Amino acid sequence: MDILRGLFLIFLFWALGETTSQLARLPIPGAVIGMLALWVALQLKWVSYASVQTTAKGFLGIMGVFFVPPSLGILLHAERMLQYGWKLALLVVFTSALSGLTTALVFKLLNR
Amino acid sequence: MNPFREPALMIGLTLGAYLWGQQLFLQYRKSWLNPVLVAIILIALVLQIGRAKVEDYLEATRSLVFLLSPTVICLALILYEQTSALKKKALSIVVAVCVGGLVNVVVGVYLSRWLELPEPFVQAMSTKAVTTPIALELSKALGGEASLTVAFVLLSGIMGAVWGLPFLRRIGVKDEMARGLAIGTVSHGIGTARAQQESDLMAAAAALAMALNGLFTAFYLPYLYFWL
Repeated sequence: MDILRGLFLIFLFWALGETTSQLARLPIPGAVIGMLALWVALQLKWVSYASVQTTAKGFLGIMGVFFVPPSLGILLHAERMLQYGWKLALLVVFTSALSGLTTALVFKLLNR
Repeated sequence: MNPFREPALMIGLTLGAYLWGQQLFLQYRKSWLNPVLVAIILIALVLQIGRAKVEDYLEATRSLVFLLSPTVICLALILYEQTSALKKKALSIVVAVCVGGLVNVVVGVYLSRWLELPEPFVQAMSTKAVTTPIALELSKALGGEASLTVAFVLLSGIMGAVWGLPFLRRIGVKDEMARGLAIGTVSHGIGTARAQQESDLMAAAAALAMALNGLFTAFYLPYLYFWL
């Protein structure tokens, strides 16, 4: 019962987000809009925390597994990427590290 | 029968590989034993040994990947639990994430041009930090290659999820929220999945950073890219 109600609400918000995204021709995916909408709905108590908790915690607990198949898609480009091997590796590592560090430092600086 | 085209088998393999990776992580607590990374390596080996086509595996596991979208909706719950903590720092969160995301795009584009990478790689570099569906939309707007774009998104996601937190710790960033924001800004959903292994606050910060960086990048990149 709990799981079914949770699933219904989650898909309802996904559908809501998807519809908004397509009707307004936004570059933002429906799932992200749905997430923000559900956050607002929880805040305003339109949706109770308990009604989605069981299902949502279940999904969140295995979130990582959904990224596994798409990641194997990297193999399709392996040959091309290896052509620029060290340059690409260096670039991805360097820019990611710089970006993460900037985010953390700006946040700390503003909260001193 | 081609086993690599059977959804039950391939989804089963994926779940099993991930489960094993998760157990390894829980047992040894090493960052590089990230369950996503362990599963990818294991499955890549299986596909290699079986001389399978990656396309067949991707097709067979589509129904599993479909569940990613409802999972993104569920992140609202983590945000809700941490709303009061996030609200107190709302402005600094928005500024930090936007500046961090912008640095990634600008430095990435300039450096990859400087290293004379082909244009599709430069474009993929500019969208690598945003969550997959947004990156796909942007790739369309910039005239990039969809599947290369996704490859870069996942590459930066995995790298950040595996080495992001150890890197930040070494450099002296210990604040939970700062670490969550950084990993969400750089590594979107994969980083958020990783942050969940640490704490609810870090997971909420990561989820919010993923959403903010995605939204922000989606709005400015189509204009900025042609300026760079």
